[in-house]
Amino acid sequence: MLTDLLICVPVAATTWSFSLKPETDNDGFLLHLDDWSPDVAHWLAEAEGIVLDDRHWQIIMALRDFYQEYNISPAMRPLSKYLKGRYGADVSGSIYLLTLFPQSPAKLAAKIAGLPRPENCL
Amino acid sequence: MSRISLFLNESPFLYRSHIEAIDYLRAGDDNLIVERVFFYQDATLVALDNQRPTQGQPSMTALWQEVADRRNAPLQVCIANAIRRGLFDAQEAARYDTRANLAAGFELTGLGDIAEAVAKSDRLLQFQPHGLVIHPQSDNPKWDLMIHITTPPTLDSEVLELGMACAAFDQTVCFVFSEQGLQWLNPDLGAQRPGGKSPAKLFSALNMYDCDDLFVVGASDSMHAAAQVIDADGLADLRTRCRHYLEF
Repeated sequence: MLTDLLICVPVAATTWSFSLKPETDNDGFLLHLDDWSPDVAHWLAEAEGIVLDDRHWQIIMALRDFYQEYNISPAMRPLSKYLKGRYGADVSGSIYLLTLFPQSPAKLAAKIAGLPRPENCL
Repeated sequence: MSRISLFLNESPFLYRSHIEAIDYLRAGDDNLIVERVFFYQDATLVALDNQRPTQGQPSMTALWQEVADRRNAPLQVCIANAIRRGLFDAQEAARYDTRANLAAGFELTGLGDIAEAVAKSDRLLQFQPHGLVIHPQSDNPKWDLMIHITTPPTLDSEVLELGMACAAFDQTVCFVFSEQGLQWLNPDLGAQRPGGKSPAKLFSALNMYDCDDLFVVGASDSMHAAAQVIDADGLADLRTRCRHYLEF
């Protein structure tokens, strides 16, 4: 099938070490959460114009743990509270998160962390 | 002037709650400002376009459209509950590669809007199968919203999500469990549908959402560690310390 071929085209000219582009929905969220890897996170971030550094990774790993623990892609307030408990006040404020993940930090960070789209404003 | 919001969570096909709510709005005096009508759980089905009731009967959808137009009341449908049930506006239809089927006059909104209704309304009126029950209201409440759960766990934990979303939008929320609702607190309760979320995990998240005031009415052997046990008098007392009350 032509459509199958299209999905399976290897990603050319990237440094990421996965050969098949993971499928995403129309907003760029992973369709299959198991497809996530750190390299996939770099690729997802690149699509959003973000270059990941240690500060981003701190948030991403915390988000993945949050999801593991609670089964929720959190909204801003619970995410902020979780980060505060884990890393302290300096890396949990909404302005700090906005500088790392512009416009909609909870949603954007969830996307890059390979979590389901936050639903329900939770 | 009194501001009210209406809350519906029952199917429009099974019980009289929608009819009661529509009649209430029709009869309401002009000093009543209808902040919004919010449709949750199976009440969202009323916003499905293209319904064909038996000939000669108006659809509940049409009755809502008519009264909303007359009272200038926004008809707001919980977006997450709606999408689970296959209900899409144009924007969500594009997102999910499907077609829009939301009836005219209804809008899909996030739970931020119900939180706003809780914050702004003098009264949040819930229409249940047996009609409207008006509860006493506190002038100096401890909680903005009390969610009283008397029925067993549902497949999706939409009732818990409602409280958590209100809390995420700065409303103070408490949960009360009684009767069959106590089953929610069974620590061994797994996901209620294949691949679903475990209510136990949501309970453990309540602290992150700052809504971990849990009360259980009567003794229970399936107690959640954080829950406080109260009796019937305690329940009555709690009700007087909340601005708004929703029962499920």
